[in-house]
This record gives sequence, structure tokens and C-alpha cells, in this order.
Amino acid sequence: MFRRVLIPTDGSPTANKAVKSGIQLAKMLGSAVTGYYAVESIPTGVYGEGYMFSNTARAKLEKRAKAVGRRHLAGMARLARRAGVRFDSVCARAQTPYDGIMDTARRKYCDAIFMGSHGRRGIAAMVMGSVTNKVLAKSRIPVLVFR
Amino acid sequence: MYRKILVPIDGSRTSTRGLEEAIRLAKGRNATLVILHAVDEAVVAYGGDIVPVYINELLESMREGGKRIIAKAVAKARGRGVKVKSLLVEKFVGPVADIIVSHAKKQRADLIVIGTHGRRGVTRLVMGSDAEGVVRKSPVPVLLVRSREQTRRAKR
Repeated sequence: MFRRVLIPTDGSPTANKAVKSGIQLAKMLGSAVTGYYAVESIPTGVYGEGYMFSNTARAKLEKRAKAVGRRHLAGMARLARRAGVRFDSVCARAQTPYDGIMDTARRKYCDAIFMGSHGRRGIAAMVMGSVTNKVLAKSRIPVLVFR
Repeated sequence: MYRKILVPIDGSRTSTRGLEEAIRLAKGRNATLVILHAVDEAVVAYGGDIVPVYINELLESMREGGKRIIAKAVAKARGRGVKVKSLLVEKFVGPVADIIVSHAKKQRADLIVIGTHGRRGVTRLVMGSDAEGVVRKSPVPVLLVRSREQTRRAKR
């Protein structure tokens, strides 16, 4: 019923839950999975006047974020392979994780998004994360929220 | 993977979209749909300009309407060869989302499929408030399905 499902991750425990259950469901439905990790871009001007993030520092941070993302996506790829689910992944820079998710879903022609109810940014007390909330509000394709 | 899928409906086109998606999920996978419709009596309680005498009649017709909505949904699911159960909830207090979540627990549903934008949804709000409440409170995964109509409007 879904041809390709986007599963974004930030490596948080709830995202991991979405990854595990999502891959199982994709297997059942015969869907392919695209894993996504957002590398957030570091704004230049934010740190105050007279202080600029040097380009080298920025590149270094981004490189590190990318490495973390690739590690999470590699874990996903392993799970998908074990389940016999077709898998590819995107680890790319995005203005915000929300933008990255919507953008990747569009570009990969995903027809559903599976994601956790909150990620790294969610405080335990907050029942729904801001990224998930935004995706829910804006997505035109079905969104399955795992708890 | 999902044995029991709770599908709250209100008879709107949006909730029908949710039902259709749920049928596709359940079909051929030995899952049971639990179709739930809540007769929201609060609508009457808040409607200030209704003459009290008519309230009972109005409630009765709402209940009848609820039964029809459920019967239609049940027929649709059965027609596609999906096992289905139905629940008509009357006389409740509080938000519809709470009713949905408490019935999900009671029924041991392992998934909730819900169309966003119920009848109460205001176009200004991007997501139906009931659907959002369900996502916030549900202990089980929730699949939110946007109505096609909504999608078309959003594209414009």
C-alpha cells in the first residue's frame, strides 16, 4: 500500500523505535524504505557580533554530524537488509530537520512517513516533539507516529 | 503485525479516508478493525440557541446518524473482506481524543488510524484538534491520513 516510506532518525530512543517497527511494517506491506538523517546547518551570525563561526570550524562540525548520521543510517540499513526490505538513505544538510524531512520525502517520492513522537529535542515531559508536530501539521502524505 | 486497528470515524470525507487506509492495512493480514463513532453531545450542550424541548429529539437524531455512519463503515470494510467490530459511544465528557484513546486501551488496539480534520476541525487549524489530541495521548502508534480534499486545497 505504500511504495516507499521515509523513516527519519536522529538516533534517539523513540526514533529507534520508529526505525525498528517501521522496517517491520514496511516488510509486511512490501514497501521500500528511505532512511534520513538531517545534518543541521550552523547559522553564521547567531553567535553574536564580532564572533563568527570560522568556516573551518563549521566544516569540522558538519563533518562530525555527518559521520554520526551515517552511523545511524548504517544501523538502519543493517536492519532493513535483515528484514529483506529495499533500503536507501540520505544524510544531507538541511535548514531544519523538518525541512529536510519534507524535502527528502518529496524528492524520493515517498508516500508515507514513519517517525517517532519526539526526538532528541523533546523533553521527556513533552508528549510530542516539535519536529514531529510540524511534519504532522504539514505533511500531505500519511504519517505514522510511533510512541 | 497489527491485529487490532482502531478507526475513529465521524462520517466526514476525511474520516472515510482514514477508514480506507485502515482497510488497506488490514486486508488479507488477519487484522480486525474496530470502528468507533462518538456521538458528541457537547455540540448540543454548547449550542445556545436550541430550544430545550428539541434537545431530546436532536440527540435521538444524532444517535441515529451515528448508527448510520457506523453501519456504512462496517459495510464498506466487510465488503472488502476485512473483519470488523463497531462501537457507538454516547454520553461522554471531555474531548473526543480522550474517548478514542481510552477505547484504544480498552480494546487493546495496537494501532489507531485516523483521518485528520474531523467535522470540528477549523480550516484555520492545519490539523484537526481531535487527531492531534489522539497523537499526544495514544500509547500505541497512530497513522494520520490527510484527506484528499485537503491535499488538493493545500497544493493550490
